Amino acid sequence: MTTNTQSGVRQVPDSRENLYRIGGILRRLFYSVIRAPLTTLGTLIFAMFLIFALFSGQIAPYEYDDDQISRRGDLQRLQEPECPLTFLFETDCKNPFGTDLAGSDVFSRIIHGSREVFRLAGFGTLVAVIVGSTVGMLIGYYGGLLDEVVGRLLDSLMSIPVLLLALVLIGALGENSNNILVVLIIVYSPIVARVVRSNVLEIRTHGFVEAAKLRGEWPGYILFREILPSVIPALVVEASLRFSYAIFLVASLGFLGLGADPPTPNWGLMVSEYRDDFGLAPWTLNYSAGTISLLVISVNLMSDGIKRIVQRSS
Amino acid sequence: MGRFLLRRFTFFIITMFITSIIIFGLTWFLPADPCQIKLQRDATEARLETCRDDLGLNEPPAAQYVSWALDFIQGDWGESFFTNEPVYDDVIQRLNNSARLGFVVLVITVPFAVFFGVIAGLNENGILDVSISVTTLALVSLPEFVTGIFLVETVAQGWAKDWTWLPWELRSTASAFDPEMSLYESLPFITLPALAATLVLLGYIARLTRAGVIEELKRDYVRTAELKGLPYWQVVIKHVLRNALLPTVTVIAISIGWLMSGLVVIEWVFNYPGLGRFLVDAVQQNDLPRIQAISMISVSIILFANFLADLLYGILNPRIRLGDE
Repeated sequence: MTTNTQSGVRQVPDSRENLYRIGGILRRLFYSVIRAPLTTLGTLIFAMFLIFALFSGQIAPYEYDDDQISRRGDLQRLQEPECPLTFLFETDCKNPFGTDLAGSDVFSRIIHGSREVFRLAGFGTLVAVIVGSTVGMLIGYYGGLLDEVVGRLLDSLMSIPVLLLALVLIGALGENSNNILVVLIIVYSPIVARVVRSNVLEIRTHGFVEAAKLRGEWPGYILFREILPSVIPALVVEASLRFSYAIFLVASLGFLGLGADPPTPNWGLMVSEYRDDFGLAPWTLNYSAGTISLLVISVNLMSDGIKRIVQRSS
Repeated sequence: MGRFLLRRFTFFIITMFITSIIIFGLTWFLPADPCQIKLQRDATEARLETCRDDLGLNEPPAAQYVSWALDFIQGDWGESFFTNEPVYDDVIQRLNNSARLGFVVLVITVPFAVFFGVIAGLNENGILDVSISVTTLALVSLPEFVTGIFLVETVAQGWAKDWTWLPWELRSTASAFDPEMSLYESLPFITLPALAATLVLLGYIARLTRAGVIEELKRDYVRTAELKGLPYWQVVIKHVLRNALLPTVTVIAISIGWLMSGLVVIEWVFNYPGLGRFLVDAVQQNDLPRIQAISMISVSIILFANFLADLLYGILNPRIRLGDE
């Protein structure tokens, strides 16, 4: 039945068919967004943080280590939050989220910290996805002994919990924010590789791969032009999931005091510093912990939605 | 069954072997020079030489691994770079503390999580399901340290400060914790960290259970049972749950894996003297032998739990066991 209707659609010329397809995807995306308000909310909040990260220099009113209370010459050391919700519209609002005990503006530190989060988690995930999908495609396509050996190695790496592996790596490499990037890549590449491998195993059996082989295409062409496009939906889901875990991991490591030193506006580190000041300045902890939670939950909602949309359309 | 067991066991041993190579390689060959780390500022050329001889760093890598692995199996886990004391006693002590915490967490979490998961799965997309799903998603998404700090600062030192009906006083840090205490005596120290871990793990297991129930409800045999005229509760209890709860065995094994790493952050928040906190201390001090021992122990426990879960699953589900032969 379905093959009949499909061959009916195939009568339309190629370019228009593509147009229809893109229009269909956009329409489906639009309806999925309307139908899943939580996904939309998550995506919007994520976009807001992305803008914060990209333009942190322009958005943040002060530097992250600027002791502006002393500079202003105020006698009172701490400034309570002045206008936490309406700061976008008030021009004379100096410290929307108040200041911390070092006299720095908490709002500015959070904005600068978002760049740190995206630099580490975003870049780490990107490289892990590239490395992981290359390895996954290679072992999935060639199979045999290569798959057996590399696959077993990846399985063993994955049997070590992520945080544990990250801690072992940091213990060996030393604490340093660039080592966090290395850690993210080593920890997440095997997971991506596994997912890509299992997809390639399925796609490899399709006729179009066989056809390309018979045409005499070289393996690089088959891998990247024939197989990769079919893997991309699964890869997008996996990448968004890895990104949400990466934010989590970066924040947790910062909280444990690894990979970031005090004036750095690392959110996890901020939470662990502000925890000691909770009695005097509870807002510092509330806003920094609240920000982490907001970003993590929104990325989770977003990746959940992406997963559902991709699954429905495939 | 014999072949199934043998196959699973070989798999367990092979994974253990490769993992131990990974851990040893990462901790021993990745740093430029373990002796430099051990001696720090006292490093003179002569001392470095004796230290390298002591640790066997001049031998070929494979020989180093073999002698390390043989020592490890016999319980000789080396000496701490930091205190120069044998690692074994400290690690076993901390493992005992963590096991105590983990036990309490599992006992609280599993029944509640399965209950909520089943309720949500049976009401797919209903109000109960949506509220349970959103809450569990939020609980799973929140970093453990946020939940933990909230419990300390807002609940223990805020709302619960004047609660007199609690059976024991809630301690927000375990600084007075004594490993000689009985499980009951240590409950004041364990309650809050256990609660923090429970909140995360609860969401995790409940979501898996929900997915299992929803999948089983779509099966043909459920429809047959319903059409046969069986009352709904009988269909659920006799048919659906028997199959849907099968993966719960695996879930508990996964939870043990989660506990090994999830407790790291929670023990840090509550200052609880467990294995996870010990690992963070060791990482901060670059204490390589301790890092090796703690990660090896954690991974062995996880792999062994997975092995047991595979076995149980095979016993409970003949398809797996027989399909393998």
